[in-house]
Amino acid sequence: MTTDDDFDRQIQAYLESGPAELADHVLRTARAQLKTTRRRRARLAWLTPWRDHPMSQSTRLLLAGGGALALVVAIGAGLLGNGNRGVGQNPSASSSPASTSPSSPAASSTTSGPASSAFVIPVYAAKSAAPLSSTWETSGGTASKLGVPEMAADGRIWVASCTDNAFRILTPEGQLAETWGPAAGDPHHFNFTFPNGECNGAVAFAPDGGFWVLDFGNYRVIRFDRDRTFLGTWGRFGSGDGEFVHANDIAVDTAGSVFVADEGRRVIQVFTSDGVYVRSVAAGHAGSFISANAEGWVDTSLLPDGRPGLTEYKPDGTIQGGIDMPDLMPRPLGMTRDDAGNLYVVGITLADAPSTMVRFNASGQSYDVWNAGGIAVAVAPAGDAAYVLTASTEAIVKYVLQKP
Amino acid sequence: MDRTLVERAIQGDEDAYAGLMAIAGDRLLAIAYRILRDLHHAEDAVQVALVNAWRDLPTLRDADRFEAWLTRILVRACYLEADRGRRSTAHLRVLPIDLAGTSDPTSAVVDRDRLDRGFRRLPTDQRAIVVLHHYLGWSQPEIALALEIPIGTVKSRLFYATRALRAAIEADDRPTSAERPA
Repeated sequence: MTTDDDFDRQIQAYLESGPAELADHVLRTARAQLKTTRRRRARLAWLTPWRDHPMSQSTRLLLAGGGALALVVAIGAGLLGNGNRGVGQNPSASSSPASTSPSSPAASSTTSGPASSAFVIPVYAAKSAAPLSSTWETSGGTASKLGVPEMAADGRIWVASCTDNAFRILTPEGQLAETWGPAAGDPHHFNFTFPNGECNGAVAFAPDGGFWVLDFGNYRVIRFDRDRTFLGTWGRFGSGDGEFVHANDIAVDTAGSVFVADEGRRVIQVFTSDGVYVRSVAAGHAGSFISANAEGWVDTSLLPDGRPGLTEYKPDGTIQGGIDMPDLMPRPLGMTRDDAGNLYVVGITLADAPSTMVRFNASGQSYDVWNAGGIAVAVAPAGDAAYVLTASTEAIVKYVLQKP
Repeated sequence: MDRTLVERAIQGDEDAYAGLMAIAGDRLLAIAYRILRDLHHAEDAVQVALVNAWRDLPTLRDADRFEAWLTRILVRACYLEADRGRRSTAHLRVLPIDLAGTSDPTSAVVDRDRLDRGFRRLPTDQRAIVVLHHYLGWSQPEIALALEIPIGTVKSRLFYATRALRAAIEADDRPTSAERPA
């Protein structure tokens, strides 16, 4: 049996021989192609002030034209033009209360689980100047699949677990504080597994601690107060207002409007806090993930033309702008905001392209980017920590970030 | 690498970039050849990488990272070239070498043949890690940084590649059925 060192030397010897010089014709051909190769814009130039809310459309177009560039976007005439013709152009509160005002409240029961151990994982390299380190990674248990993480007002991280259809509630240090969900047999017992076996589940918190659970496999939203008392539920399978085919993410603004992204119907539905349907946004081109800011601006992970990207919609459902970033983040997925309004987006990529996390500032004019991608993300209010659902959907990783 | 040349190339100076190509060309070919084990494919990969790097150079934010950044582009070009190669040679398969005439089956030549066969059977992404680690001498964190992949991925690829290469040698060391004692 060869020792490891000997074997390494064998490999090195094997790799020793090879051609010494690149043939001139290769350099000549490459140089000839340079003249016809369109250079890409620098990454910073990809950004337009697409989230500078007070900016007029004409100013935005002026900046887009002068500053340039492609990706960037406010998808110039395209995206902004589309905004006028109408994604969600009907912000009228056409409330056809889809199903329901909440049914009668009932106390929910609680289940508890054992604490899991947190452990340190290697520090990933940061692409930006901002330091990045990961402090723990915790799984959802044996062969568990997890849903979208979200931070509650008390700083603990909730993440749906498909193993027991309950939330794993983690401390910021990575310890499993408790497992919670209505018990099996309870009419509001969660089902975080879709009929095709896909696992998901999400939760959105109001500032007062009340919350809404996206009960993924039951095609419904369930509302609880801060004491986890059931307040009501709405939704069912279907393509009508207030119905879901494949609801994937949920968000809430400070006014209590509830946003639900449905990747089956490609629409974001807006509801009042108690489930009355208000309107649909991004109909036909909503992404699978969303984030709403305090005033009801909502971002989603798809461009209006169907390509992956970020699009932001105004509270009235018209388009504010978008970012197309095929190199920086070919497939943006989960997103969330910190208290200052900075937007955090994670994505995964194919093969060996890096999975990244990007932070846009409140105006969308600058960003940080790290090799810390995944499916979904939650952040601390100050923006100094991110909790990322890994691509395997089996673990949450905490990253410590430099504050914006 | 000459930082001034890199900065000028980022600004669009084609002559400066030509200088960089001349400086980096031999090294790129050496890496590509060792990953792809085919000179023509390696040359194609280098050519593609050089053009892609010119296209993407404005996105390079740190001129000091040019070399690692260029290597990443080359490795990706190798992946594509390997796919192309696989498609065009899909009907070929690796046949065992007849060692009957080899007087010393433990010789370096034989081991090298076995390594070569084992290496060619590795997925391209594992080959790339092996080359960057054993040929360029990069540490695992350096590879992770350059390729922009998690260090865990680097470790696992290196682990599986090493295991497969060992298996390639040791499998051939096992006696054939005719050699086994009854």
